[in-house]
Amino acid sequence: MAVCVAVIAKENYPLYIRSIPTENELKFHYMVHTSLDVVDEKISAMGKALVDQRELYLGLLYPTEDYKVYPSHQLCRYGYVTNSKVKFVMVVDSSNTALRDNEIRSMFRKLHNSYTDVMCNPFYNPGDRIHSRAFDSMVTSMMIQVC
Amino acid sequence: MAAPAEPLPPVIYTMENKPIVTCAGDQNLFTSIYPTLSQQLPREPMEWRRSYGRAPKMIHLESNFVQFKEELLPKEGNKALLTFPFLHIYWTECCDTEVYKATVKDDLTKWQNVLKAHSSVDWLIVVVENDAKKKNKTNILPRTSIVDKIRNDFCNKQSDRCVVLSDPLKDSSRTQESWNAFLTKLRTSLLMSFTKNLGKFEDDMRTLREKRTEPGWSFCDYFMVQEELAFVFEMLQQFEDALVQYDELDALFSQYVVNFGAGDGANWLTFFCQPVKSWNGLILRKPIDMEKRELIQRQEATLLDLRSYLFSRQCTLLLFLQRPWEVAQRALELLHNCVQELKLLEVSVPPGALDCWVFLSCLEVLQRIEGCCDRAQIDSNIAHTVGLWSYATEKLKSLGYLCGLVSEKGPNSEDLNRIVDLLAGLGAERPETANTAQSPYKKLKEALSSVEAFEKHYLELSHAAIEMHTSIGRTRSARLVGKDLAEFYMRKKSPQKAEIYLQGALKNYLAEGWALPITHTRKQLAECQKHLGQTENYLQTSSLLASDHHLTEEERKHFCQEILSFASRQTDSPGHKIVLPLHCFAQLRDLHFTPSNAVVHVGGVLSVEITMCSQMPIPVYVEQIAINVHFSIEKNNYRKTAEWLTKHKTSNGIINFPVETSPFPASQNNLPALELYEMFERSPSDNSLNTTGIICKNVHMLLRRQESSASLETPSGVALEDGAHVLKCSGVTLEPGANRITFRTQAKEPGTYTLRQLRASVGPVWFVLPHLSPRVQYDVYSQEPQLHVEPLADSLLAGIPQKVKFTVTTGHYTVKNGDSLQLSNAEAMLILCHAENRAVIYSNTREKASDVSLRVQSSDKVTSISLPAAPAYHMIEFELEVLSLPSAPVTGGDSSTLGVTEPHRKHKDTQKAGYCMATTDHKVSIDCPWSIYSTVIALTFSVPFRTTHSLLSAGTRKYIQVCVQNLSELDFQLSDGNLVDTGSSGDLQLVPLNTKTPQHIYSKQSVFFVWELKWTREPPPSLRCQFSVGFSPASEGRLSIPLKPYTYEFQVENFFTLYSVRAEILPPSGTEHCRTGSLCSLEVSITRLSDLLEVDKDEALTESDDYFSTKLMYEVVDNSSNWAVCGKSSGVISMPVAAQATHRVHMEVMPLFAGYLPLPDVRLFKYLPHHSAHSSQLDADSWIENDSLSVDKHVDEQLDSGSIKSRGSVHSASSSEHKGLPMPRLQALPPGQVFNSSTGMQILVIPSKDDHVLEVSVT
Amino acid sequence: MSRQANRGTESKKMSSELFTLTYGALVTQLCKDYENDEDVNKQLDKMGYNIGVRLIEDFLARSNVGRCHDFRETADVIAKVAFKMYLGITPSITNWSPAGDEFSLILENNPLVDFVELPDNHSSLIYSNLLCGVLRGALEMVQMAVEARFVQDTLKGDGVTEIRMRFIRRIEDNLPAGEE
Repeated sequence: MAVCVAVIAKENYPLYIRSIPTENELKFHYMVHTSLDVVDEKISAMGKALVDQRELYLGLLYPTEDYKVYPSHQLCRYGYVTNSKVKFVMVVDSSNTALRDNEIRSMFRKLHNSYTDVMCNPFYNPGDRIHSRAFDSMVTSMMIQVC
Repeated sequence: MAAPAEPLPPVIYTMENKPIVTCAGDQNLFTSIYPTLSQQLPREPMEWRRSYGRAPKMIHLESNFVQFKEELLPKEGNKALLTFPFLHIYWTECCDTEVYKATVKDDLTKWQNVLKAHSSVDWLIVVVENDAKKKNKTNILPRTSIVDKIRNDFCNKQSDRCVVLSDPLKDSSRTQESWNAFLTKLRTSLLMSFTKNLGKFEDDMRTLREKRTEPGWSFCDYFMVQEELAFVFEMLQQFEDALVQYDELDALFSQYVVNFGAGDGANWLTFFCQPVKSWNGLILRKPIDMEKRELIQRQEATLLDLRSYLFSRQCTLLLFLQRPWEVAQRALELLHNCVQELKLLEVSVPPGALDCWVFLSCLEVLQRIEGCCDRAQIDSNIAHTVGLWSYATEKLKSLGYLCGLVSEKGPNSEDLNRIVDLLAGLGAERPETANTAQSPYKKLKEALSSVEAFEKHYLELSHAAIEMHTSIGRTRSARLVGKDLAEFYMRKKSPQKAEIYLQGALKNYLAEGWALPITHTRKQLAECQKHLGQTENYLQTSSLLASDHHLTEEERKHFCQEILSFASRQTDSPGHKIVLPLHCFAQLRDLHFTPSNAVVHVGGVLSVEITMCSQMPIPVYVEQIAINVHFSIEKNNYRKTAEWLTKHKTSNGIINFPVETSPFPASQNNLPALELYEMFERSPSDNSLNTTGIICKNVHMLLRRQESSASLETPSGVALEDGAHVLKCSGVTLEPGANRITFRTQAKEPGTYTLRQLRASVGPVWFVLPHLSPRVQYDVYSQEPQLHVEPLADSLLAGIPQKVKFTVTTGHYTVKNGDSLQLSNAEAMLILCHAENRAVIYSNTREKASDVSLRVQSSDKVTSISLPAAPAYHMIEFELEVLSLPSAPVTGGDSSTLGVTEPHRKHKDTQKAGYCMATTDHKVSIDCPWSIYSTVIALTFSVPFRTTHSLLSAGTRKYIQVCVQNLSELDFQLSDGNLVDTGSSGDLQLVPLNTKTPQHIYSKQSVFFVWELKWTREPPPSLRCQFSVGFSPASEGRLSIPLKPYTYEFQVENFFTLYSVRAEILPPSGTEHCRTGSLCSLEVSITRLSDLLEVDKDEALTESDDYFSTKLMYEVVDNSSNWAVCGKSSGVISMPVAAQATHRVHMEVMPLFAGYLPLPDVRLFKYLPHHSAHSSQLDADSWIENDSLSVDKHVDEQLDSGSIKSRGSVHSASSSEHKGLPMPRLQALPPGQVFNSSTGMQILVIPSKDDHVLEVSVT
Repeated sequence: MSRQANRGTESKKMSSELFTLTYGALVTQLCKDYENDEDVNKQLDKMGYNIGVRLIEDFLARSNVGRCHDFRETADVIAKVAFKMYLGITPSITNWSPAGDEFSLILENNPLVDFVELPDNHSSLIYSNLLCGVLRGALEMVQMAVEARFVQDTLKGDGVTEIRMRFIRRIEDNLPAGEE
């Protein structure tokens, strides 16, 4: 399942990024950051379409084979962008559980909802880093299943 | 035999495969037809309706016609579809029954039997008819056609199995028709055969797949079977379907691997787990890689072999389908996939082997794609290929690191061994690539051959990758590759090459605010800069790192230490400074002044306390912290008074500074908000608006934001300002976290001081905060010494001691001992010096400094107040009592306030309605020690009293009444009122009729004093008097000093009575009471009381042989209109100037009311005849007199409403005089000279009898 | 949560998110304006009071409940009618004091605090204190001086939100103390 979940602001700085195991955090940061390239590409490419059929899910960004982070795991980065141009990027370990697209979709939807709640918290100022317990626990629940 | 018949075409798997059709019967016939046939068959497409509900397809059929042989027919089932004869055709052109019976029939039967034996039902019999043949036949039998016979004999119930083809080689419409009919038949039966056989094949295949759980099952066998199907589709050009077959195989295999990873391994899979021995990437040049295929067939393929083969097939098909980009994409997935499958299956792989394999594969795929696309296509599809490029780069890199090709001293022996092994694993280069120069194989071999070669290839790849990434706008990925490259360069000890990449990456991360990458890249950059010896940059980066909380404590300490050690070491070039931005070293939190209003006088001490948050992990000793101050002379150059100073700054002088959020990108909430302020310049004099506008106080912040990301690394060109004014604080140790630092400074020049730069110097390293924002400034002012003198009460009262407050604002002047104020006393105002005067000294901010006694000594002219010693910018306050003499001498300019005598004075008084107090100003000139000029101050005292006097007569006795009115708010004690005759007349005495005891006079109240005048000899015509009364405030008891009495001078004239007038009303004779409406007689007697006096000497006096007489005019006026005067009410009489001379006048009056009526009023006037002699000059004063007269007249007018006649006459007189005619004049006698004895007398009037109405007037 | 033109029993629907966010905005603004949470709590209570003294009219007008005879009845009306009408929830009434002058309203889900997470620097903030004010103000208008306070709050990690109501005394003079 998800090994890294990131929420990225419209201006492309991370609002939230969490990964397991934590010792490879840096690696994931790089990974997520580079995947923004493809996110941008996809947005600009099918931007029109996205708006039209309200499709926020960007699908597979690209697979990565990485010994260092995860021996013998294929990591796939998936992207999702809200209409407010906030991006979600998930690095998913799809090595031994071939995740169906719609599972990923639903994960993103969960993420999006949770993010919306964060935004609705009157004490949260939009644009700040996210320090929400609720959001955290939700993310944990998505990452928990990692082997 | 004909050429196409034999030899049997060998089954080679090429694209040239066609479905096989066997031909039996007349070979020559077939040969003759073959060309036409083979060319006609594919011409028309045919719809293929397929089983399993697959979409029908149009197919152009071709087929491979071979001679019928029994061995062609498959024995049992049909594994090999490619060699399977889908249709059997029997050719004959026999048209002769005999011949048919003789040979053809048997031949056919044999053929049929063979087919039956192999249960092959796909057959066709073609009968070719030729007219020519018929011709030369002589014996014509009844025409029963061979065709019918054959149909009867063979095709029972399926007559269409026998087709007629007539005159195939002719060119006629008939020929055409028969051809078409034939071909259609041929095609349909072919397709039917396909459907049937393929369907059967697929069924078998499925059943085989179902068995896959059974022990004996082998993937490879199954692979071969399904691939057969794929081949057929390929043969039929159904590439999609073919691809599907391979994808299914792919998926099946992957699934097995995954399951294996999950635990349940199929035993056949273990075979794939054999260690990897060869890793010569993918081969995509041949449509079918036979070697690998055979390996699979022989069940000897390794996982890589299988994958490679599978992919090569998929690749081929995809390329047929014009989908090269899918190839690229699939390739990438495949490679990742393989790598992890090997891991899953725990296949032992020699280190680097996979890297080689992936590397080769990537390049192979790329080259294959390039091979089949043109440049333009490729360039427009980089997005698909770039992944492979960077993957290859990555792999080559790790190979390089693995084999020690990246160290500057080249690979060691074991590295070399490893290289050799890896190369061995590649095996020999494949023939198909052998002669291509840039084949992946060659590249890799070369790259591994030497350090230089490796570098060359690695750089080539990296740059290619970066270029591609950037070209499609994948800057971030490009940066990442760049960073790898940088690492490589660092390894190669060529940091100068690395720097640019690191900078680039860092810039990107900073711009997007990715903290961790920033930190990491910075660390690398720091190392790089260190190697490059870019001291400043290195130090700056270190400072940034030292303050970076994403690093461990140790790392931070390390970098901090780096700075410190440099600072301590750097001695060689003194004066050389290294300027770094402060914010990464420490952050300025707040600042506050004491005094808190940040205003200090020249020479005063100002202290500035700042809070700095040290970002360093350890305490840092700072030689000096300095604040650069910009001095500007006060623009509005009016002297700042203390009040102005206090109100012009915020009370609590704490200024907070926004916390620098350095590493974050310029997103809306990180940008500092515009600090706009409205600005009003008011003119100092009248605080009217001069200019107004809006100031943005943090422009520099906003502007700096733009290039912040860049300037963060390279030392921002911090312009050091020349320090004319600098606040310093030396030898501070900044603990981690908040530190308070205090600067003290003595204010010098007056003006505004703006704090500009904050600087902390650690050895030669200067950390500088280029701008303080919000702007901070303090003011220094200088003040001239000043003296203020003001009364404590709102108004000073004359005559009694009054307190006056002296305030000395020392300003820049320091009062020394012995300095004194010299007051030159004004006469009539004296300064009362008590034994004990105290002065209080305040600082400018009104804190009480001290309380000292004050020495005041006064001589007659000068009072000198010796000031206590006081420092500059203090205030000395003390109070003095002053006393203004209550009344100044008449001569005094202000004496007019007193002395009623002057007529104009009188006027003034009447004008001032609510008698406000008369005032006197006293000017005192004071010599101050600080100036050569003397200050003149004016004190205004108001006289608390207003006094009037009046002369009263009783017959010849005279009295003087003085009325003292207290106008002040105070109550007074009046004592020993006294009146003296200041005139010469000796024997005149004033007898007081007043109490001796002091009297209380309350505020706004009056007190009267009366004296009787007594004289023996003839009194002087006029009398000068001075009234004086002692007074003291009632409130206080005994006063320290004796107070001067209040005096009032005035003058009385003609107080001596000349005439006494008596009026008497007698009732009509015979009645003892007057009655209303009845005439009574009024008798007026005027008596001269004295002989000729000085006062009589005027032109009214007429002398005839020492008999003097004067003309008087009397007038009877009844103001109360009680009386009607009948007859003439006035007349002129000539009065002898002699004592007791009396003149009587009778006249008739009638009372109008009953009751006690006051007598009518009798007035006397001097009657001055006209003297033509000096009329001219007389005219002048005649005006005056007349004036005065008419004044009197007018006064009467108000009162009098009765005696119209008399007034009329007078008026005529006056008016006539206006015409300039000489007329006699009237002059009122001064009040003292006439005593009317009957004033106040009343007479009883009773109402007349016949009155029905009783009117009573009560007066 | 419901407001309508004509005082009828039917009520216009309105987005509860908007409602919640509006309240959130209010509270956070107060947090900006006042230094410490206690002041904010006070302000919320005041506002609530001022709402309550008005709302009661609306309430009585629309819910035709007669006068309550005892505190228990009042409690029921508050929970079952008032809360339902204005917040769309029906809190349960529990732990009555033996004297019957105190009870607790248990709110399983408090619509005011959807999405809300209290930051650590506002630990002593009573986010929904407005409600207490409303109850206090409304009851005061019907001559009941009560004390309402939060004793449990989901925001503070408690399982439920509990408002403790205490009856103080009957107010004899019908005039309210006047808006604070």
